[in-house]
Formats: sequence, structure tokens, C-alpha cells
Amino acid sequence: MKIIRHAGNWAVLAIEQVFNKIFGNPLNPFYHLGSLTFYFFWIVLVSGIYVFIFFETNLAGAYASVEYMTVQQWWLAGLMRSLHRYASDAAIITIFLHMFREFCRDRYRGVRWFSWFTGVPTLWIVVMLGISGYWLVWDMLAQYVAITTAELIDWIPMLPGSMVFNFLEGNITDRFFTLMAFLHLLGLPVGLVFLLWTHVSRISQIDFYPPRPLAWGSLVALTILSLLKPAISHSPAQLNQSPTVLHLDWFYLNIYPLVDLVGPGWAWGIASGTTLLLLILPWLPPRGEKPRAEVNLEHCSGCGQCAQDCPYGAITMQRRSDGRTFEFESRMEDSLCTSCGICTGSCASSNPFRVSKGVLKSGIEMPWYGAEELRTRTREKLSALSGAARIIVYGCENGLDFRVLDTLGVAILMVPCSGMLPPSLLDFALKKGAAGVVVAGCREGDCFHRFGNRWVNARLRGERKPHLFAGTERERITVFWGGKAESHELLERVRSFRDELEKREGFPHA
Amino acid sequence: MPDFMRWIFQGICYALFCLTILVYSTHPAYTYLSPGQGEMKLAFKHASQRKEACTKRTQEQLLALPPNMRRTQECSRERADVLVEITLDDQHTIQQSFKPPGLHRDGTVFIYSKLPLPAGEHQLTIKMRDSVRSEGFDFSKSAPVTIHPGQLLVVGFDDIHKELTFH
Repeated sequence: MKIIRHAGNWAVLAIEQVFNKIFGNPLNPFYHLGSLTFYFFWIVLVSGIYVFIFFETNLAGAYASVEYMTVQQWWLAGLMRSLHRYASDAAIITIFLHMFREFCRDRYRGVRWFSWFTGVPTLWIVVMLGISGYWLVWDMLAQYVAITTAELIDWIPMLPGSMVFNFLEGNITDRFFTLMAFLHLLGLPVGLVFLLWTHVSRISQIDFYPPRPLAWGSLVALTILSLLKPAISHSPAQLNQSPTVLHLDWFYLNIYPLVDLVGPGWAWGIASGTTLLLLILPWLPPRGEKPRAEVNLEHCSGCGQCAQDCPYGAITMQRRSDGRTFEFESRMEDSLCTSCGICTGSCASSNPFRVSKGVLKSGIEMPWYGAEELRTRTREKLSALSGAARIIVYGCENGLDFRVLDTLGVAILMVPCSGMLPPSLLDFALKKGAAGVVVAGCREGDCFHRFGNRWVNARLRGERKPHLFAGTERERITVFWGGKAESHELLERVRSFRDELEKREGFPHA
Repeated sequence: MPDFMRWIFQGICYALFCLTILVYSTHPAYTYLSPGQGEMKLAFKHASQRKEACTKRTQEQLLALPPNMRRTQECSRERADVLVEITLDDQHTIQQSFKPPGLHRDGTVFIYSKLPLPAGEHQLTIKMRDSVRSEGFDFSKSAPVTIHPGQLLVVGFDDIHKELTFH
């Protein structure tokens, strides 16, 4: 599994690197696959509502009403029908890319199992929505889909009766068709909304909408596609005929040829086996978790910054329980914490200057890597440095390959996430002898822990608490964001940063 | 990369995305039936005969039962499998067996099976055994049929006249 993940990650990173050059990091579609899927659902919803105005939910009128939209009112209803179909297909592409990417990035195990696990039934609902949609056109494709679906359902043991007999000539009634219309128009969409809500319920600050340029770009592209190649129907359903050649939508209907090929029993086996494999994937093998962050109430002022910064909503604020004068205190939900340490970076009491002697305790920190460890290791790393260009690099564990810096003689201190670094620590490093500080981590827009590099940038710009001290020489701090593929660019950046420092007045600073 | 180049490449990315949608939303075409083929479906439900014949209860046996259970006949629940034999043009013969559903194998058998047929004139013979007999059949029908390309011929069972039907 590890080999597959690494190989996939290498491929994904390489593709994303190209897209970063073309779109720029903030607009890289690979960094917005979830929100793009939501956006395609919106297009499906809006176009579906318009199509429903003209759609007749009965056997006799369904096909004719779809044909009316496609042929006579092609300029709007036909366009909407095509958008409805193509946006649904686009959603399947983004869903699968999203799944593949999260798998390769190893963001589906450990605490993050829940989003993966709930995503699997969500995919089933999406596929069922697509299938029921094709059913409603009531053309030869719909007939094929209906009959083969009935064969699949009839295979399930212990179900009374036989569904497929409903589709023999003379047996079919509007009742079944109305049921499908109800499922497509209301039942399944409600189920989808519920599952999507569950899917994202364990992360905070969700991007429901992609960046505007991506949204417009996708909409324009799908509209052009709809105009150039409008969605059309097969010939009307005829129950005394069998379909011959079908233009299947392989994004949704790929199971049906499989049923024809291997029979409904094997098709169920393959579908449920794949589903089961996907469901248990987060435990194949389980991720080794580090101890969760802990709140130290005696150092917590209840400012709430950690709760605002936590990417997983693991921290909430509650009324003070220790009788101190602060109104709130932080409360950890262990089952949501990924041990990224971002909360330590958010906490004002992680300031290494705060306690000059004795043990430094932050208001919230991980027992295995707290503010004191950050300060102590920084001191150790700096004391081991020699020469004039004393540079310390704080490196995130999830992005770059820091071995490329070995030849430069800089100090490297690894942290679980760049967001774990309180700005005061960078200032501390400068005061304690570093000529310069480099913070390096995942590519911008693609932080392993969602917001690490975003918060670092915002803190250094003074847009987000905690801030750098007013007197800090900002020029002596630089950041670098990149994936493994950009490790050599990091080397160049650190080298040029060192050169810049050497040219500065008053160098060396130590 | 200059801005205009980025715009061009972005356009190419959107075009490739749409091309993927376009191709896989309708292609490759799937051939369910070849152009020169029709299809035959066995599609009917049929209650096969019980595996054991019913016996008449004696007066003593009836009196030993609670009043609400005093049926004059005692029948086993299990029904026989249904065996269907399809012969096309007196040459190709296929046999299919269908088990009665239910924990006690006592339900009505849903007979459903698909078979592609070459278009043209054929002599179609269907035989059905619904009892425990080991040889011979309980029902049979043989008739010339004309299959057109794409046509669906349904083999059913008329419960009133107790005979197999082609329609």
C-alpha cells in the first residue's frame, strides 16, 4: 500500500507542479477538487430545476417532454439538459481525482478516516442519482438501464417478487416511473445533502465554492461543450424491442455492461467488494497516531485563536472551569485532533521569551513536542552552527526533502507542520544568534494539514494573530513552500537568502 | 511563463477536461445486441407442483388438531424445481433450472432468462417440467417464429389455459 501511495503521490505532485505553472497555486484545480465538486452539484441543481419545469413525470409524456427541450427549446432547456448531464459527469471526474489525491497524500487514515469513510456511500448516492436520471428520459437507454437494474435487484436473495416483470410489455405502469422520479428529484438529493454534510463535518472552514476564476472557467467550458455537442436521447423506449447499440455514459453506467458480461451475482460481488475495500482502506494498515494536543489551563487565556486556527475543528471554547477571571477556556476533542501542532503556533503563551528560566508551557500543545521542545531544540540547533551565515530552517515533515540542504551547513529543525511555529519563536531564533530564519513546508494551497502555510503567511504579514514583534527584522525571515519535486529550488532559495544576508549592513548578526 | 501563454494553456486544460467528459459520456458505444440479432426472454412466474402429493387426513387426525388448523388435506410445503428446455431449429438445446424461492422452497418460481437469437425464421420449441418426474416434460410448445433484428420475443405462461405462450 505504501509503495502504491508513494508512486501515486509522485505522479500527482508532478502533475500539480505543471498546473501550478499554468494556473498559479491559488487557482490550481487540484487544490480545489472538493469545492469544484460542490460547484458542479450546484450547476446540476440549477439546471435540473429548469429542466423539471418542462419535464413530464409520466411514461407517456416523459420522452416527448425531453425531446421538446432538446429540439424545440434547444437554446435554453436543451442547454440546461446538456449542462445537467455534463456537470454530473464533471463531478464524477473531480470526485475520483479527489479520492485518488487524498489517498496518495495519505490523508485518509488516522483521525481523517471519517471523511474518507463517509465519502464512499456519498459516491454510491451520486451514482444512483445519475442512474435514476438516465432512467427518466425513458428512451432505449433508459429501458436498458431500468431492466438491468431490475435484474440486479432481483438477484438479491429474500426479496419478494420480481422487479424485472414490471418491464414486460403490458405490465409497466406509471407508478414505478413516478417512484423513480421521486427518488431522482427528492429522495436521493436529500440523502446526498445529508451525506455531504456528514462528509465535511469533521473539518473546519470548508471551501464550498471554488475560486471565482475556476468557477467561471468551468461554467464557460461546460456551456461551450453543451452548445457544441448537446445531450441527446436514444429512440423512445419500446418494450417489445431490445436495445442494440447504446451510447452509454461510462461515468455512471459502467456497471451495466459488467452485469451483461458476468451476470448480476458477480457484478454485485465486484461492486460490494470494491466498496468494502474502499471502506476499510483507512485501516490497511492503520496510521500510527501521535499523542493529541492538550490544554494547559493555567497558561490558557481563552483568547480562542487556537479554535479559529484548528483545521479540523478539534478545539472549541467553553466557559471557564478553573475560576480564573478569563471568560473562556479551550477544550480539546481528542477524536478530531491530528497532532499537527497548529494550535501551539496560534497560542500567545507559546512565546519562548515568556519564561526565561524553567520549563516553558503553552496554553495548548502536544505532550511530545511542545513550546519548550521547540525552544530547546532551537537553542541546540543554533549552538551547533558555525560560520557567519547562521541560518536555521524550520521544515515541515510533509513536504520537501531537506537533505538537499546538507551541503550548506544550515541548521534544520523539523516540525509536524509549519503552522506549529509561533512567530515569536522566529524572533527568538534571530535574537539567539541566527542570521536568518527559513520556514519551509508544503506547496502553497496544498498544506498537508490544510492551513499550516496559510497561517504562517498571514501571521508574518501581520494579518493573523499571533504577530511578529514590532522590532523584528522581517527581511531576515523568509518562507519557501514546495513539494518534494521543488527541493532543489529550496536549496537555491536558501543559498540566495544566505547571500542576501551577507550583503546586509552589520552582517554577521550573531 | 508569460501571461498569454498561461491563458492558452489554461484553455487547453479546460478543453481536455471537456474532451474527457465528451468522450466518456457517450463513447465507446456499447453493443448489447449485434445488428443481426433479436432477443428471447423467458419471463413468467409459475407455481410448480409440490414435491410430495397431498394426503387426506382421517377424522381422528383432524380432531387431534386445534379447530383453526383442521384442513382436510396435509401437504408438504416444498415445491419442485422448474426445468425449461429451449430448442431452436431442432438443433441447439439449452436447459435451465429454476428453484422455488423461500426458506422452505415453497414460493412461486420467477422464471427469467435472456437469450440472443439470430434474426430470421426459426422453429422454437420450449418444454417445461414443473414436477418431480425425472423424465419428460409437463408442458411444451413448438411454433415457427420470425425474429426481426432488435425484436424481443417473450416466452410466457398462461395460467388460465395452462400453456406456454410466445408473444
